[in-house]
Amino acid sequence: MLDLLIFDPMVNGLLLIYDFLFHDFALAIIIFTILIRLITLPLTLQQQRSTQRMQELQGSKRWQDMQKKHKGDRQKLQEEQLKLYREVGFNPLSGCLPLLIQFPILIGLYQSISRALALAPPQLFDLTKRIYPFISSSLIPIDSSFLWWDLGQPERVISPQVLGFGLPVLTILVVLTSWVQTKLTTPPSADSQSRQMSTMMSLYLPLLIGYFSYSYAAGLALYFLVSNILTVVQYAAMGKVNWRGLLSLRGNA
Amino acid sequence: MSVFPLTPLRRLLPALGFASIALAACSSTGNPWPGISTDADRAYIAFGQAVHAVDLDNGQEVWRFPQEPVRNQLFYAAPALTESGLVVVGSYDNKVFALEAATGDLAWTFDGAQERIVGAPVADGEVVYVPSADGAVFALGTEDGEPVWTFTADGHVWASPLVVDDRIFIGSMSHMVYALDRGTGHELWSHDAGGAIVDSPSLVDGVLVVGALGQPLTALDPATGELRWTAESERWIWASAASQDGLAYFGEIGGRLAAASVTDGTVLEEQQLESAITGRPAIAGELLYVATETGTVHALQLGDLGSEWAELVPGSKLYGPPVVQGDLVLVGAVSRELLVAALDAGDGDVRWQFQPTK
Repeated sequence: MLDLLIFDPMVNGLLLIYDFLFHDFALAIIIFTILIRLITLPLTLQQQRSTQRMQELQGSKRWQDMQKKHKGDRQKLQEEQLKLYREVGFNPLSGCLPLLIQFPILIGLYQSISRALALAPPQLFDLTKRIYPFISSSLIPIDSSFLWWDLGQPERVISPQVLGFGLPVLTILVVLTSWVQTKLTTPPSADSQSRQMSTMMSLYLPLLIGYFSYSYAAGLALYFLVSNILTVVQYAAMGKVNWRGLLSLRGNA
Repeated sequence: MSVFPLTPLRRLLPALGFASIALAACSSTGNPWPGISTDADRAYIAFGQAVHAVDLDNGQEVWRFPQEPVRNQLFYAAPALTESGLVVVGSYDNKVFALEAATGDLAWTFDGAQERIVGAPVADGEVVYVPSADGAVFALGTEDGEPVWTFTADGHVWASPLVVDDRIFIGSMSHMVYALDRGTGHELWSHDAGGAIVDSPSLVDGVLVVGALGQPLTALDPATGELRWTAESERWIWASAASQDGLAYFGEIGGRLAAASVTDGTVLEEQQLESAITGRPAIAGELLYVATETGTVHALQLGDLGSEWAELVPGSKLYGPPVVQGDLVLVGAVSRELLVAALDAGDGDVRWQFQPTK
């Protein structure tokens, strides 16, 4: 079902863009990522509004008083918080739904790049069964070369024969931009738990994404890089970038 | 949010775990299939982290290489068997290994390729020709693995070379068919087939037949590379054709099996099978053997494609070509239960199955 509704349309969409963009797969990945981000923008905005509303609530005097008053009684604290949500008409799960909808789309984007590259016979066979009839079969295989990269291979810039190891420049860029993006887009929080979580996110998420970038085809790392930059640009355009967060090594307060 | 009484770490870990699984799943779009070669006594099976020599009489393993798995060293291309008694096999970590057919001992290694060896090497006399995904085709001396010459194609080469007389024919993923001088590796001609070529060309009654993705089956003049004819086909042909008595037999990913005249490419007979045909059909005696994705091996009459027998290999997907040796038909399976099934060529009964021990 996921194949039919998400993965197959995205693979074919990516191939169509590749066809239009002079068979430049790097450019196709960039444009495809931008398009998907534009399509999911309403969901992103809704999620951001929800997060902002939550931040405002957590910063309110009533919330703080509630925390102090029921410090030792978690059950009671939760009841009071839910009561507050009801009173102000806020659904704490309203930020989750857009995220849940976006997640398969983001996975689909990642998978469509991987599937379009078809790096081995089983992947190529899989691709032949997914391509829509109006997509030209002559597009296959994708020309995965871009600058000094082969987007179908894990990227290492310097020959192992020179330094003894290949320097994963693209992975380093992905880790750096992931870290910067997490720092810039995590709003300041008065809540200590939220601060702890954002600190961990800013550490673990770049490392996890860096691991994928290092291990898999460079085309996927390029997607991560573009995606990180787009997120920052999107937040900056909306005036939501938390510049102070970038300077803070701890959670954003 | 403190609605859910979870510490931040406990909240983060499931999300990261899920993301890891979801992202890692992108490499699991399909499973590679085994490559099989045979001599009179044994089958040599390349799959995963080992090459297995298996006794054709009983399906028992005689030796395996390497004894212990080596990380990232994967074998999927059918080995080449040399006259001097070597089994030459390429790996996904860009190496070529020559093993003693009798014992599995390593004779030599070649590590000049820049990318994985996807296509099967072909041995001819004192030279073995090895295609590489980096676009190179290496002619290596069978005695020591030293390169005799190297040809570089425009694009990856996954297909096995075809050696005929003084020429070598190569199909590349960048849609090109090349004819090379066998002795020097110099290009004699090239032809754009219009689609990626995954399988090696075949010589059919004096014409060079090429299967290319998204293109009709194409026949070229082997001397000049000029187009002779095309045979009507549906969208995707994975492999090339087998031929006998003026007919070229080819399968398609849509499950269509066709027999075309080698004179002009007219399709004279066709049969719709149950699922994708990716392996080149094999001919032995009066029968044509075809394996399908959903696990059935068909034996069909040459000419009218009438069914002689069909045997389902349960729980298996069959992507590689059937290999006929003596009175056996071997098929490599993508399955949890077996790696290779040996069927009786006459009636399709399963003689033995091979599944390597861990």
